Amino acid sequence: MKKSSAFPATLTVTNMDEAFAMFGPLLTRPVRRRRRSEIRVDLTPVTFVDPFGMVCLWATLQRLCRHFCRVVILLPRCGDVQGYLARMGFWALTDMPEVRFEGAIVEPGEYRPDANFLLELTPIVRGNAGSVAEITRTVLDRTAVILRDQLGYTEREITNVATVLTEACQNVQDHSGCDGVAAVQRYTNARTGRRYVVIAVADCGHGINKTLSERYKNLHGSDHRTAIGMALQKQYSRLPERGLGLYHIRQIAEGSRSSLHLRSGDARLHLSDRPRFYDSCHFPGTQICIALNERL
Amino acid sequence: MLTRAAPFDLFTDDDVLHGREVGRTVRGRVTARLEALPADTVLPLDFSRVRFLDFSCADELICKTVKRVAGGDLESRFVVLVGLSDTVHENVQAALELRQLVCVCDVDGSPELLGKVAPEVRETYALAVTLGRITARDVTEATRARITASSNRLTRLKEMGILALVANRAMEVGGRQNVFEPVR
Repeated sequence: MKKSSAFPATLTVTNMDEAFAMFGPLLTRPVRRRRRSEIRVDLTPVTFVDPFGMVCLWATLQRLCRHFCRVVILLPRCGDVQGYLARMGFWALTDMPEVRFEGAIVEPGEYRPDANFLLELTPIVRGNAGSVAEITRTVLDRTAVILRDQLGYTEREITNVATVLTEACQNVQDHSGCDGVAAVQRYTNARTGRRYVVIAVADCGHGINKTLSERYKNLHGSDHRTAIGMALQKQYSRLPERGLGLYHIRQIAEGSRSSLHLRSGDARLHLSDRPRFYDSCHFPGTQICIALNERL
Repeated sequence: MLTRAAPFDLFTDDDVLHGREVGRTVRGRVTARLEALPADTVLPLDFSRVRFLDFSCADELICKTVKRVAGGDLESRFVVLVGLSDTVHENVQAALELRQLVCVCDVDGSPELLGKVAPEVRETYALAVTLGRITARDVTEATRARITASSNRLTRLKEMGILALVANRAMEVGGRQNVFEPVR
């Protein structure tokens, strides 16, 4: 039996690198024919999870289930966090034969979806265009009520939320080679009062470097930072006449002076005032997080 | 003279148009309709029942259609966009701008240009709409540009697919001049 170190207290884009590092190279090893018996994932110290933390947690569990016959999740001691996970559909999406939960304070079925959530943890099913359409429709319906009617967001701001989300989800379908997951939540900065929407999408598929290398042979053997940088530029794609989706997401983020994190392989790029790369423990696939500010 | 065909409803069985595959499919329908029309026809693409058009779909559907029209592939058949909601308008504008294309959009009965529109393009198109038909001489009189520059400007708008060459007529002083109509 293997037990992970205790997760950090907050699972957000700036802490997930630390969480990935707990598993070391395990998550990227080829799957052996015979899985190991059990791993215990210690979430007990967690007191806050945002959409990015949640989609990455889902991706981590996906990988762990490939290596272990049983994955036991020690749930957060904090009841609020458990309740949040339940309302965001975490239980439903991690309902896999290998997964067990311990330390539940709230019953998974006790909470109902919250009308204030823009999008609960929702699967992006490879090969099923309808899953992205459903995500789009859900977000459009809810942004109309929550963002426009209740909070006075403009049509452009609402379109930006839907566009960023659909483009990121479409990338999972087109390029990752596997399923993915998305979640969207709105927040208000307690200090500044500024409102923003966090959009998070993750998969644990091919990753950007491998995807782009199909077309740009010079990427073979180069680092993930290079691939991430290319992916955000205009017209770099494994497919000809494409490569505008991530570029457009970047434009939207820059246009609203928002924050964009793009993670793949062992690198994470943070685009805000100045682009900055961070090293990360290697984790397969691509994970993206955009905190879209409302325009002042 | 340009004639306007009946609007082509872009609604499929879903009011959310997303992704390139959907864009490709709808573009196929649009192209088939265009090819069936006589020359010198404008086909309005009706978005009034489309709730959301994502960026990729806009690129696949609108940009590739506009590119073919502008390139002359469809021989004097043109498109104009009608019934765009603000939401759809945003992504169409973004896609056209990124591809550096221009398209005519009908806003409350008035034609407007969407996409990457330089000031002189907007100015010349507006003049064409005001006059109904336009020649290089008209542009020169309005802008004081030289006749060659005016002629080049009209050619550029034609190559964008927003002006149609409808006649080539003799001038009183000799020679011939091209006559254009705005696509709307």
